[in-house]
Amino acid sequence: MVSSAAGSIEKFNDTISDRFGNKPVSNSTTSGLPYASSLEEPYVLQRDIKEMIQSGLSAIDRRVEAKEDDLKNKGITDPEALNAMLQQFRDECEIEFYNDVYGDVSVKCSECLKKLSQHFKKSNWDRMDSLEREDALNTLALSAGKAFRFDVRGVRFYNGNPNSRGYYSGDGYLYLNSDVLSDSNNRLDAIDTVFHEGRHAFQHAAANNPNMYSIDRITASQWKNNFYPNYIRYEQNPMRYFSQPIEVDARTFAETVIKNGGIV
Amino acid sequence: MKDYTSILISDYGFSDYEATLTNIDLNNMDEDSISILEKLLNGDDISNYSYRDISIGTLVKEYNLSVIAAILSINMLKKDYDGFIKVLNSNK
Repeated sequence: MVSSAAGSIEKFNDTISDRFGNKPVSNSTTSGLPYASSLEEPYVLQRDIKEMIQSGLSAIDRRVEAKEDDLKNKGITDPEALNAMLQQFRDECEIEFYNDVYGDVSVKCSECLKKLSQHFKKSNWDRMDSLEREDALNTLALSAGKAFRFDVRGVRFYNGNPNSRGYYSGDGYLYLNSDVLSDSNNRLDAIDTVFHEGRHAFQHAAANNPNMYSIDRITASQWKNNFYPNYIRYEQNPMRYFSQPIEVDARTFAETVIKNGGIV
Repeated sequence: MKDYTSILISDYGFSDYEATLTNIDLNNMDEDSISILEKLLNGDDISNYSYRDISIGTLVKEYNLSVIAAILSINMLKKDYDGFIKVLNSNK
């Protein structure tokens, strides 16, 4: 679900990140497992990525220029046709390039889940208290943000109707029903919701800048149109809500990530 | 085909796009469901109208659906109960 449809929901303001500045204060846990957020992540210099992108885009500019010469030599001189072909060529190059830099989004998200599989295995999840679960979900969301190619600020929880599972509001947080912390039977739903709402955030970003997110322009345009003006709210027509492109995509994406994430 | 579009927008808070599609869905409901819709529009209380264990009242209170969405849902539950329960639980 996306922002406008979230409805009136009582939110928890004291999330783990608010209470502990993204890290729990104590290392001792009920389950005996380390906090998920204490697992070390390899550090990547953002400067290196920026330089890589800059030089890659310059190389693409040169390829497009060469392509233009090639097309003109083949007799294609109509400006409209030429521009369309060059735009398509640039799109293909950039989509491939950004995938090379960041990796496939779905594969990367599954890798995030695999890295935290210890925490999300049923036998361990059952032993974890709500603080550990909150920390694991927050860590998963932060990690998934890197795979999604933008900064996810974390997860937040709300007291909602059990049938309301989550939403993305556009503020960088992924919102989950707080019953995922208290009821261990909601383990898979919690993981699914992180990737489902994360995918909505990704769709928003890709709708405005498709190449950077390795999404083709037709799909991006379809998403953009679906967000506005053609969004159908769950509470007004659940079947149409369920069938709209952004929901179908988010469900399929989350299912694929979990299937390949090695925790089921 | 009856046009419910205007009333969906003015009385039930639908957007233009939601109303256009929902108008089609309402017209495609079975006769029982259409008669329940007409009762609602006449001001009758339809909260007890149900299929199996799910009533309009339940859908409005527990699933936060609008009463129009609740009528549509009862109609869908009659067609494919298990399949539509999944749809009802997909609110994320």
